[in-house]
Amino acid sequence: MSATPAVRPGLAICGSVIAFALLIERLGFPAAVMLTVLLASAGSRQMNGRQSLLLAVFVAAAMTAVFVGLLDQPLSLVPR
Amino acid sequence: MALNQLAMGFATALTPNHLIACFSGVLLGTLIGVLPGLGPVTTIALLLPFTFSLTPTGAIIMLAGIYYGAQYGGSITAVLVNLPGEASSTVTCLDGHAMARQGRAGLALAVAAIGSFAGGTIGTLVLAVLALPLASFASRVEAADYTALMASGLVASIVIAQGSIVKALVMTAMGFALGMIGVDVATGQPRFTMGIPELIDGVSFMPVAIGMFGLSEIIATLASPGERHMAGTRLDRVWPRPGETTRAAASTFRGTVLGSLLGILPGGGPVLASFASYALEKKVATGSPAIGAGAIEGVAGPESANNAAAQTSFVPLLTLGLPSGPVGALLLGALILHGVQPGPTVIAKEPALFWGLVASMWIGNLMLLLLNLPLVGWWARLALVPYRFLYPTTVALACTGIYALNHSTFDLWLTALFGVAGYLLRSRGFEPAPLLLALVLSPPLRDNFNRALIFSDGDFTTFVTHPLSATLLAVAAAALLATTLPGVKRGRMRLAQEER
Repeated sequence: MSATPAVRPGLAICGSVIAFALLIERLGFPAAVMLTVLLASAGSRQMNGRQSLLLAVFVAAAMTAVFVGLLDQPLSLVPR
Repeated sequence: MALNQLAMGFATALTPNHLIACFSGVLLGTLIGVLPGLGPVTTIALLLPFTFSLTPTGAIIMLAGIYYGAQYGGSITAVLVNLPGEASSTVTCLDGHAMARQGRAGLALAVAAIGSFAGGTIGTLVLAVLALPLASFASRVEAADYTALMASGLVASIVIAQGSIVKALVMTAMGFALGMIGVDVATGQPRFTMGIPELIDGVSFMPVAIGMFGLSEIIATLASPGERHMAGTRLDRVWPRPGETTRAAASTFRGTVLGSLLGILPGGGPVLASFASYALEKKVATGSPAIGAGAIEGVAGPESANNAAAQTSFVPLLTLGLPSGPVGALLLGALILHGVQPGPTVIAKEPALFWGLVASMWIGNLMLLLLNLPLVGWWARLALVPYRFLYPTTVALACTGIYALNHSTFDLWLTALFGVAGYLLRSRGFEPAPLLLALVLSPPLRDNFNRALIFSDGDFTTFVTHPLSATLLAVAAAALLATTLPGVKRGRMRLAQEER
C-alpha cells in the first residue's frame, strides 16, 4: 500500500469515526472512545500495539471524567 | 453614545459567570491551539458543542475566548515548531522560528503576546465605534443590495485567498449546492434530500466543518512523511531589551493600524492583515538581524495586525452577518445554532450580548497576556507531545463533539464522508474554506435573493438598477477580472510561495 500513502490513514481515520457512530449507542461512551482511538492510531506506522492500547485507555478515562463527570453530558457509561 | 454602551458591555462581561466563561475559553483555546496541527478553526469546531449548556451570551463570550486563545496557541507552535496553526500565523513562522533557532523563543513569544494585546485593544475600540453606524446603514439596505453585498464578500474572500481562483469558485459552488439540501422555507418542498429523513433540516454545519478541516488535515499530515521537530526548547529571556522595545513598539503600531483597517473589509480579516503587515515591515524595518532572519519586527507587526484584524472582522460579521474567513464562518454558525441571527438588528435586539461580547474580547485579550507570559514555558512543553499520540485523541474528541450536538449518529457518518472528500479535494488543490463560507452564507443569500425577486416581480435587473447593488457587483466583477491580469497573477503567486 506504499504507492498511495494516504490509503492507510484515510481508512483508519474514517473507520474510527464510523466505528464511533456504530458503537456509541451499543457499547456506551468509554468503550466507544477506546475502540475509536485504537482504530485511529492504526493510521500511523509509528504506533505499536502497546502504545495504542495505553493511549486508548488513558484517553477513554480522561474523556469520560471530563465529559460525563465534569460537563454532565448525557452519555451512557455501560453497554445497553 | 458608544462609550455608555461599552460601559454596559463591561458590566455584562464582568459578571462572575461570564468571567469564568471567558477565562475557560482562553485557557482551553490556548491548550488545544498549542497542540501541533490544531489551529483555531479545528479548536473552535471541537469545542463548540460543549458551549451549548451555557446561555447564548456566555457561549459567545467563551467562543471568542477560545478564538483568541487558539490563535495565540497557533503563534506558539509557529515559533517553536515552525508549524502555523492557521494561515494567519504563517508569516510568524518566518522570523519567529528563526528567533527560536537563535535561542530567543521566549522573547518572540512575549512580543507576540504583547503585540496581540495592543492590536486587540485598538481593534476592540474600532469595533465599538464603527458597529452602530454600520448597523444603522445596514438596516436601510434592501434585499437586492444585501444579496450583492454577500456575493461580493464571497468574491473578495476568493480573490484574496491564495491558490487557483477557478478551484475556489468550484468549492464555492459546491458549498451552495450543499446549502440547497433541505426543506424550502417558502413552499415546504423537500429539496435534494434523496429521501433521507435526516437531511430534511439540511446538511448540518458541524460535520462539514470538522470533516473538512479536522479529519482531512489529520489524513494529510499522516500521509506526508516525517515528523516535525522542535527548535531550541530553551526559552531564555522573555523581556525585550530597550532597543528591541522601540523597534517592536513601532512595528506593533504599524501592524495594529493596518490590521484594524484590513479586518473591516469583507473578505479581509487576519490572514490578509498578517501578510500585508509582513510585506510592510519588509520595506520599513532596516535593523539587524534582517527581516526573515529573526527580526523582532517580523513577529511584532504581523502578530498585532492579525489580532487587530480578528477584532475588527467582527464588525462585518455582527452587523452584516458577513464572515471574512473560515473562523468567522464557524462563529456565525455558532451564533445561529444559539438562536442569534447576526445582522443589522442584533445590536438593537440583543444589546447585552453585543456589547458584552465586545467588552469580553478586550478582557479575553488581557487574560491571554496575563495567562501566557508566565505560562509560556509550560505551553512550550505541551507543543512537544508527538503527533502520533495527539491525533487519535483529536479524532475521539471530534466524534464526541459531533455526537454531543444532536445525539445523531447520522452526523458522524457525514463527518467521515466529508473527511475523505475534504482530503481528496485538498490534495488536488481545492481548499475547503470557500466551501464552508458558501455553506454558511447560502441560507441568507438565498432568502435575500428570493425576496429581491419577489419585490421586483421576478425581474432580474433589480440587481443592477439598485445603485448600491450595481456598484458592489461591478466591484466584485472587476476584482475577479483583475486576477487574470499578468501583474496581479504574479503578485498572488509570490504570496503563495512566501507561504511555504
